[in-house]
Amino acid sequence: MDLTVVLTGRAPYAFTIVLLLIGLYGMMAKQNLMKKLFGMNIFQGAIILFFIVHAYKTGASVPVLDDALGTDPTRYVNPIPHGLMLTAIVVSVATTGVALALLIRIYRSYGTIDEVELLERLRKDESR
Amino acid sequence: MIPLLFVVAIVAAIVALQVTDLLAAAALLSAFSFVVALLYSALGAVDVGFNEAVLGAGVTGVLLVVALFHTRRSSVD
Amino acid sequence: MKALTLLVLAALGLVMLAAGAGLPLYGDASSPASLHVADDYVRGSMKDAHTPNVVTTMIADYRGFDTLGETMVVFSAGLACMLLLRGGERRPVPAIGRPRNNIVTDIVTRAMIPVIQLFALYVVFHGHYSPGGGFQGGALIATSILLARMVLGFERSQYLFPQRLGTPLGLLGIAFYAGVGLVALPFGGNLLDYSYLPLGLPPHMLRNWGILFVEIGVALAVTGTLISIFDDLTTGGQTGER
Repeated sequence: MDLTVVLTGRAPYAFTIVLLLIGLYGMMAKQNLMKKLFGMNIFQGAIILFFIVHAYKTGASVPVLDDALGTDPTRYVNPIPHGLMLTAIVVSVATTGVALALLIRIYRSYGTIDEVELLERLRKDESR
Repeated sequence: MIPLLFVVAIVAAIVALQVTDLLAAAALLSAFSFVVALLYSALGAVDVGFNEAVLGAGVTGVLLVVALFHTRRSSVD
Repeated sequence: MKALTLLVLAALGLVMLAAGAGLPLYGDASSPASLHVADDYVRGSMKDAHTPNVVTTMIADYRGFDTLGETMVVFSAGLACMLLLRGGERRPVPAIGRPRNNIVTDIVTRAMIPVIQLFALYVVFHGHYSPGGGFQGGALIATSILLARMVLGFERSQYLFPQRLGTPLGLLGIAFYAGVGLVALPFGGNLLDYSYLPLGLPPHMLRNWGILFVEIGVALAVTGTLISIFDDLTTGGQTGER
């Protein structure tokens, strides 16, 4: 289990792992529900970055075919993760929209979006 | 260029989670989305970078501010 | 509690770094993800569909069925927002969409909206030759209408895009996309096989036109859904404390 293998020649993966952990920290440790949503957005950005780093080739160009470079696949960046991640970004926006609608409904019903106060009011509702 | 963008993204993400004023946190999240869009374009994914800049920094930021005005603007932690 | 969370996350980080030793080198052109199918897509994009942008060919032609499902996912997210926030008590004047009544922002916004929409149309139609396509163009049109809603006010911007038009426009986009796919069936092809469209062109030009129609459908669907989500979020809650 050699941890330094990642840092030589695979350094962008280490940065992506740090961003992922920051997003997870926001989702797990923050009390406010909006902050949890921010953590989810940071997490999604880190996952998409992970795929894009996989697709990179040194010295290669953007995946738009150019007459000067021909159709040699090693001169162009791998296009398959780009296509998958286009879908992922649009789905992330849709998920954020639905999560915000849920937050507005929770605020309308309980008057708070703080996790600790929300659990108190739920317990009071149940015990009534 | 790419390590610098990574460092700015990490700093923007950490500060967006620590600030207690949620409007400032939404603005910082839009800044994070923009820096990440620059990162995608620097790694050769120009379609994905365009999408992230329009949807992440534009539409998500606006939706977050609208939801903020319907709930509370400040948070405890 | 936060200390325990930090400890668990640090352990998770160490596990992920140790697993990262098995990942391919950064920038390796012969990593397994970049072989096999990706080479065929790059070599066949100009030959099969007469489109230089390989990513657009991939999402609209080679993997068009995935994009159809994804457009339906976006539309169902708009439906979920509608179910959560419509009905029940609604304030007649939303808290956000009050007109700002500031002459500078008014005039600048009125000048910017047609420019944004023209650029959005360019992005949709030029998606074959440069980065762009249906998702980006549809989101840009939605951004121009969101700008109008925020600066000109909710009531005054209804003439630009009425609120009741959001969800039907999204549905029209999906119907257009699925319609283009279903047109190929009576003429002998499979679903979403653009080379069987009845336009009287050679097969690679037919696929070029098929990609264009599909991108227009996606742009309409994304525009309608994003504006519908914004309208529901703006009018669906009560004013909270600041």
